[in-house]
Amino acid sequence: MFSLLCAAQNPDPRAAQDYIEKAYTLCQRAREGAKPALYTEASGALDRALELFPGNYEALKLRVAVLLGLHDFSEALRRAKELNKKVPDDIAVRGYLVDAEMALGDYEEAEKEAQWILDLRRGSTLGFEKAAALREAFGDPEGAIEFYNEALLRTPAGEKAERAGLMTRNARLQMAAENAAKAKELLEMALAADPGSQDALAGLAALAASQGNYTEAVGLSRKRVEQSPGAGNTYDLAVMLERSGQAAEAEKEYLAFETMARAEMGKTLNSNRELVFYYADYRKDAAQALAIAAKEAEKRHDSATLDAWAWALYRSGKVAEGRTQMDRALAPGVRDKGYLCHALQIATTMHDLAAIERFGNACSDSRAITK
Amino acid sequence: MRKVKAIICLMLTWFLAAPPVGFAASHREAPITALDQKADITDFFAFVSYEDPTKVTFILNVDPFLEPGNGPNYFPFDDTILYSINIDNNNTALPAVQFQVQFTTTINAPGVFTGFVGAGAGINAPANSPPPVAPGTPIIPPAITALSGAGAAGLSLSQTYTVSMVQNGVTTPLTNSNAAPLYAVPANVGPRTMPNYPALAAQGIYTLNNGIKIFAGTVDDPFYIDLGATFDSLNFRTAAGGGVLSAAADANDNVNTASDTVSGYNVNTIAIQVPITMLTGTGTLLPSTSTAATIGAWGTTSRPRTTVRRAPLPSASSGSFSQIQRMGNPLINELIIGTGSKDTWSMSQPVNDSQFASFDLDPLLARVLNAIYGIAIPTPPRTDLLPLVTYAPPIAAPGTPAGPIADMLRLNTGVAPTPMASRKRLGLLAGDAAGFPNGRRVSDDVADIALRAVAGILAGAQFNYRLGDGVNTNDVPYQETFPYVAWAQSGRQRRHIDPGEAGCTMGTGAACPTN
Repeated sequence: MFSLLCAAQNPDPRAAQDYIEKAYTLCQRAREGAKPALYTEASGALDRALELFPGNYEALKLRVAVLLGLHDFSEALRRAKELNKKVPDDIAVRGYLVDAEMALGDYEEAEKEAQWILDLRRGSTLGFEKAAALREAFGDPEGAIEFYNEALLRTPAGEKAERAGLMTRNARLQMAAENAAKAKELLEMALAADPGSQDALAGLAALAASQGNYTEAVGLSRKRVEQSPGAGNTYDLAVMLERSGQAAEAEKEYLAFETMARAEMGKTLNSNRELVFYYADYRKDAAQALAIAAKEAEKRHDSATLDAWAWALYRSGKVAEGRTQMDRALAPGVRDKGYLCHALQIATTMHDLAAIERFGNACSDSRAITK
Repeated sequence: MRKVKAIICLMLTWFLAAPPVGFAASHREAPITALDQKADITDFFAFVSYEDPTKVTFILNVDPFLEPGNGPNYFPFDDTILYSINIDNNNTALPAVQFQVQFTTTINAPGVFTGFVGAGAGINAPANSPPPVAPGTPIIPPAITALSGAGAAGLSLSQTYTVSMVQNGVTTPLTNSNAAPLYAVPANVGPRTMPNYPALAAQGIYTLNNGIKIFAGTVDDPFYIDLGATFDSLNFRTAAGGGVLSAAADANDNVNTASDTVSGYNVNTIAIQVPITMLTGTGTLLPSTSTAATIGAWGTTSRPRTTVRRAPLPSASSGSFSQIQRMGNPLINELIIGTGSKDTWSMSQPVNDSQFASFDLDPLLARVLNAIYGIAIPTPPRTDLLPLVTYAPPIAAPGTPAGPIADMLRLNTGVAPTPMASRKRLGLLAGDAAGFPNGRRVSDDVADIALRAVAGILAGAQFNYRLGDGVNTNDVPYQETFPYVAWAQSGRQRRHIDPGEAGCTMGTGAACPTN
């Protein structure tokens, strides 16, 4: 039956493979250059490949990666589950499950899948990488750093973008732990490995801002926009400009951001989270912020989404509801200073002394760290 | 990428004409164990003890194809592996009783270049020994005649082990009745180093609390098969009927018409003999007609796991070990489960085997046999295979709760052992009620039995074909007393009986056929 599957179902296997390879390359470029439009192009190539070779496993797998790139997490999860049922030993698919479940806020299921990866392929890079992300989500940055280091040790020197990604994630944790020197070292190593790394540039900008060096932060943020002029990058630039005191320039970039972000509001890949904070904090339009945040929260319940919703509720005067959602956001254990800063402000408004004590000085530098 | 694709298609095509991996016994049958030889379970046996029908013997074999001469370190057990024998006695497919074994390695002579050394009464430095070693200084210790103490000076490397019984969540250490350490029996290096290996190996049989006996060490691999012909897309020897044995060849359990690929190789074994009263749910000896007489058993190997969460944060794992492999029946993962699911299967618990039901209901191997031999096979769904994966007659007594679909060896503890003279290699298929698939003895020809079961013999006489590889017996005789397997083959004297070589049956008789 397998020989039939190989030969008869595919009138032109070479052509199908060409489309799969094209899609793979597009995905890589999309990921490395933060150019999401390339995912759409990759999706088209996969459509063609699957027309030529229905059921091709490689194409179906890549389809899940594309869906994740496009932030269509529900559909990615559905398809990854189908593939996992067919080939449960495939840890790449289990990795997709982790990504989708984390994005949707199902940390318990994500943890189960990550544990499967660690058990199925002991010492695998993928297992350490996914477990590190979960440790971060569970509020164990030291444990996450340990696993990012393990993953980095196992990633060949030739896989530059992957290495840069791991170093950047590690650097963000170092930054949060106020190990600025280590963070800088890692980010510079990441950029050396992958000069086009948007995440590394963002990390360096955040690091500069956290040290009060807004000129450098603005410069780096502007470079990101030049390389990849999307809504998210434009928002970050606007924030840096605002914090550096360049109000007029910031306003210009914020307006540009608003236009771009509103255009993609209905898409899966959007900047709605940034839009929530833009309306809530910059435009002081809490109603807009809340409408967007509530809609996002209908789709996913990860800590970042719930934090944005909680903040929009708080800014709308719905403090108790904001507190409820903030508690949900923090429930997995995450210790992101941005979320904790929001939690602190909500607790302060509610005169919750215990919570105020618990969240300490979380607001000392929230915006630089929150992502 | 195109090349890869072509190779994948070629491989898939090949799978149509051959079983996906290892055959019957489980040497390197899943990707994860192919990479982790020390944790690779080759075979698992469970049978009512020949010389004492009030006890059941379990044998867990690991670490395949140990070339007896492969020094200097030979084949220690892995200290980081948890070896476990698991028993279900209430038809739930969950372990009601477990025996867990862990090893500790000691380097007794760190300056010595080999694990085992010795000769006669020892050899001293001769008169012309250059300084600073003075003539008469002991150089080579006496031959190894004991596992510890006097006679063990040549054991540069030794292993002790602990065994525990886990029941109802309570772990009870089982200790040597004389409180002495339990030593694993080393490989058989050769006659100069170990002049009386059987006597040395026999010292590794220990009596524990409650009458339990245990043995751990390197032994002859009891499994036999023409592995080369099997993996050559079922290219069995013409002399062995090309896969369908002649009536005469099939009837003779003591003659090989093909070479035993495992001949001359050793394996590491953990054998434990347990009173049946410690195994059955009622805690009593039961007749075969009792619905409580049949137990399920399987072996596992596990390694310490890396967990998503760190202590003291709540752990994602139920324990500190991650299962690497399991084995109940000798055929399920090898012949039934698809390659893309083998590792998940290995790491899953029997109670969750329904997730693999699609493989059981229409086994690819049956279609391979159908394609190659043109034989009729039962129409799916293959419910005839259920007695292998549920509690059902003819193994379990009628009325026994079937329990979930789960790969375990089912053993009716009330069935008396068959005397050696009446024992049949085809076990239950040949009317030998104490043979596989009612448990599994070391001598059972599970390769032939598995072929016939998959071809449909359990579905009715119309599917009874004399399928077989032509290897009907082991290359060395088994023992009739605990631990039943033959002692380890000598590193210096071992012989692999290959195609074309004389003495195809235990080193005697006609040559093994080449084709």
